[in-house]
Amino acid sequence: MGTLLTLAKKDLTLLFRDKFALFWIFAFPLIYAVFFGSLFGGDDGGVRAKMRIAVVDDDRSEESRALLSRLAAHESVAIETTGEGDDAEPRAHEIDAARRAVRLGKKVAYLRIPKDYFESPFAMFGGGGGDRDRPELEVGIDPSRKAEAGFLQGVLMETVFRGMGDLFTDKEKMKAEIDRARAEIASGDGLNTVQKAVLQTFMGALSTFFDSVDLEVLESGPASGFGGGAGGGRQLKVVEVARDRSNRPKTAFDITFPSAIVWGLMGVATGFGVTLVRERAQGTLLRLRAAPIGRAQLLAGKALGCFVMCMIVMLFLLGFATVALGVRVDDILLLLVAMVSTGACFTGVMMLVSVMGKTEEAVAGASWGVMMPFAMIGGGMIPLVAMPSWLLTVSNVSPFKWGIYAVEGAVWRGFSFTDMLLPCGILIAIGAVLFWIGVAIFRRIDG
Amino acid sequence: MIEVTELRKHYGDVQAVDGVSFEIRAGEAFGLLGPNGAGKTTTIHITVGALAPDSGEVRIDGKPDPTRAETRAGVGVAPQDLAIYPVLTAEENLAFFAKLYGITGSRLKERVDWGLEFSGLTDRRKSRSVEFSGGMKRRLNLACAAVHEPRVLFCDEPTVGVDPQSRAHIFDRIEQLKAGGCTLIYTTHYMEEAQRLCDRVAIMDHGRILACDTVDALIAHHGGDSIVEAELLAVPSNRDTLGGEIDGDRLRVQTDKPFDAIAELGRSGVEVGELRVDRPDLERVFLALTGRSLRD
Ligand SMILES: Nc1ncnc2c1ncn2[C@@H]1O[C@H](COP(=O)(O)OP(=O)(O)O)[C@@H](O)[C@H]1O
Ligand SMILES: [Mg+2]
Repeated sequence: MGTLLTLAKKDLTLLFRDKFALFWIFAFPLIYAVFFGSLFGGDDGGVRAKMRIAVVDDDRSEESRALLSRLAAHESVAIETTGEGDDAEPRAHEIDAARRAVRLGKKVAYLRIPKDYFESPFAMFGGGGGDRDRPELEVGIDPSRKAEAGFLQGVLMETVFRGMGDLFTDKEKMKAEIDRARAEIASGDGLNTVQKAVLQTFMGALSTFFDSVDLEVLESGPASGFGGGAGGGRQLKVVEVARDRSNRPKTAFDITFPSAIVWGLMGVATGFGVTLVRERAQGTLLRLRAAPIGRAQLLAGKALGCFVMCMIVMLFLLGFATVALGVRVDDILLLLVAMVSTGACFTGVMMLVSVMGKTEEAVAGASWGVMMPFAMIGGGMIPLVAMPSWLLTVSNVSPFKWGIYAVEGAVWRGFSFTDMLLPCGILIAIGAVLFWIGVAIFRRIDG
Repeated sequence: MIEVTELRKHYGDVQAVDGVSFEIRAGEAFGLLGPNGAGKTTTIHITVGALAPDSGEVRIDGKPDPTRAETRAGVGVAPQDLAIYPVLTAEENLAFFAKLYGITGSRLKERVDWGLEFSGLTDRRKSRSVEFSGGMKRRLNLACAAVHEPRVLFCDEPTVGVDPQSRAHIFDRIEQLKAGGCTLIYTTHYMEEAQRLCDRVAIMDHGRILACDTVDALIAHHGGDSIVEAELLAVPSNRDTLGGEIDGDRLRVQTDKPFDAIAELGRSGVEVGELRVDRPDLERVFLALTGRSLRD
């Protein structure tokens, strides 16, 4: 093991001193990801967009329609009525469709106005009667979407209670509270820049929200009416709809960074691939063969170095995307699985690449020449999400596709562990086969 | 300690090594002397197990298969093609090779310092070897080969292409290793080096060993006589009594006892200007064995 580490460390040191290789491994993919990411709109798919809400109106009353039109008019939400809104009678499948839309991430949440909601004598007054059988507004939202839930809560409360006349909310006090929170966030040293940015944005939105709407209508502040708390908040019921994740990229960087990763890994495979012929040419390979290390160890050392470098590249790019560009990773653990599989795959690619020529130039040329088409059809150029279906089918032959797919799966596609098995299994299988072929050829050359 | 029997290796049409056998005793310095292309490097590579022969056998310490790890641990090689990493520093190169032989901790530091001193690169320890002169690289190459204190050290043309100063340095250090009890296998096409350093020398050409013995014995068997050449200031009338042949004012005497010949010359009373004694050397041995000069 000590020998393996010694060999791997040596190769990593050599690579880190090769400025040309470093450019292709780190700089180029980063530039690629940031450039195209910004070009295609950067983070505009995020919280700034209107929140898409499905509504189910079981009440079908004058009041319910009025409520919905107020909600529709709100600048921060877009509503869509599932089903045939004008029917006299509610239909059971409407609520199912709404739930499914939330589960699939097509909608952030759904709002259900129950039948006879406005008949209730207490509806307009925020409950307080302790009438447990009274129908409640139902909001279905993924519990993990805390920021959206908080925001939506305010919007709904505002809308529901609009027109109820002035009640006893102190808007100025509310604003002061928010300002204090913002100052605290700004100076808080327990938070990193990203967390700060996210919180500041959220607080900023809240602040604007309080500025732009008549919050005086809020009887007891946005928080208390939500979640069916005691006393004041019985009119709104939150139903947790565990989402199938959003299955959609949240920002353009969600797409460009996984693609950039494969470019970086291509750089690694080529950079490491040439070291084998370089060592052969400069005579160090022979020297190593005279040292007390077997050929297997020698190749394993190379493989380990390459694998570690793959991980470094992925961590670097995803780290940058997360810290600087607000890309959020759905599942860190699955991402790790995806990264390990992708790293293993490209280690196999490296092994094959390393025996594809007798000189450095030949290997580097063959490496880019063979990998480029695979990268292009595999999502390195055209993002998988933008591919026509025939190309998506073709892309199945490219290891790049499975690498991108697995990483995306953990970042935003919301893969479950089972979903991850397919791309990761394919990646590891490709890696193993290529590695085996590479070793076989190496043994032939080596005599 | 090392027994090599009937090694053969070919590259395409070239029979690089063609039935080479020799035996090396512990503690001796063994020279492989031959012109470029004789097959010395190929022989070394096979002997250290870095290259598989077509046929033949190598035994080190009585054990076959030089590729076994415990055999390799006691062997060091300074290849003719420099085997150091250009972008690593002198220190890093030494440490890397030492670690391959399982050297760690304080001993690692000790051996790296030794290697730097050995190669005269202590004050350049942090410089990358790509910045070194040819001689400095050779010195580092040798230090990396010996950093793990091998019992046997193979030096493949360790002085080729270096400045005279580095050459002297390298030579000194190799003699030091020899004095320390290290068995040496030394290839060269410089016969003075083989003559100075080696206890026994094998003369190699076209993949074969033509003769293998101590330097003195080789010269005695194959070197022929000394030649005494004298400039005659006056050509004597009794020129036949001098022996040898006269060419103008030059007298050349071929003899196995050059001092006797000179004494004879003195007794004859001829006036002699310049006097030169050409003793037989390995160059002459090579010439006698192959009909060609070592320096092609
Ligand atoms: N890797 C190789 N491929 C083809 N021919 C080789 C190779 N190595 C050596 N040779 C040939 O084998 C012969 C012996 O070479 P070598 O052992 O390097 O001789 P030396 O070290 O005595 O100069 C030469 O003719 C050389 O051209
Ligand atoms: Mg040679």
